[in-house]
Amino acid sequence: MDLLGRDTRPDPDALSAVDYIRELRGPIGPDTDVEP
Amino acid sequence: MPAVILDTSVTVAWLLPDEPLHRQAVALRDQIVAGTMEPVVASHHRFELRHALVRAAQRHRCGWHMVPGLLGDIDEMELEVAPGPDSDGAILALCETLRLTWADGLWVWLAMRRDVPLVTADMGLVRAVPSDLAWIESLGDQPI
Repeated sequence: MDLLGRDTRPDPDALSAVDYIRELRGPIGPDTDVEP
Repeated sequence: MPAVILDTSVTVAWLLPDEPLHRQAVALRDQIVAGTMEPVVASHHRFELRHALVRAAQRHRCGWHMVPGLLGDIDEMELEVAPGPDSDGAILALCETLRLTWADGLWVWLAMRRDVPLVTADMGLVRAVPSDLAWIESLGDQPI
């Protein structure tokens, strides 16, 4: 909390640059939703 | 001057102070500004950078009004934008053998082609590429 009582902790759902870029590129590795 | 390829995860980490590896990214940027490294990015860096900053603004990690200035900060760095290959075969082979996405494959191909390190904050990419194939460095391993 800051002096005004506001919660200054990072938003746990904010994610990071790696997450944003990964959602754009798609996952690395096998596509587990598709049968070989 | 040695070249270094900067994954978009690195340039975004420069810009956002709450990034987990912000300090490492800024230390790397300081080396570039000091002229000890020549920064290179892939042709789709421009698109990925804008996507990441839009997502950050949507998550209230930075104000929308700040985004143009952040993009301007990167423009001022005058990063060399490397062209992609003339044909698709090399990147498609990386995608097939390493199970990379096309975008990841282009970054890795560039590191192989230039024979210089690709620095990324993405440990998934670091782990996906054998060290004898391309030089991929974790941003987290960069000195602060």
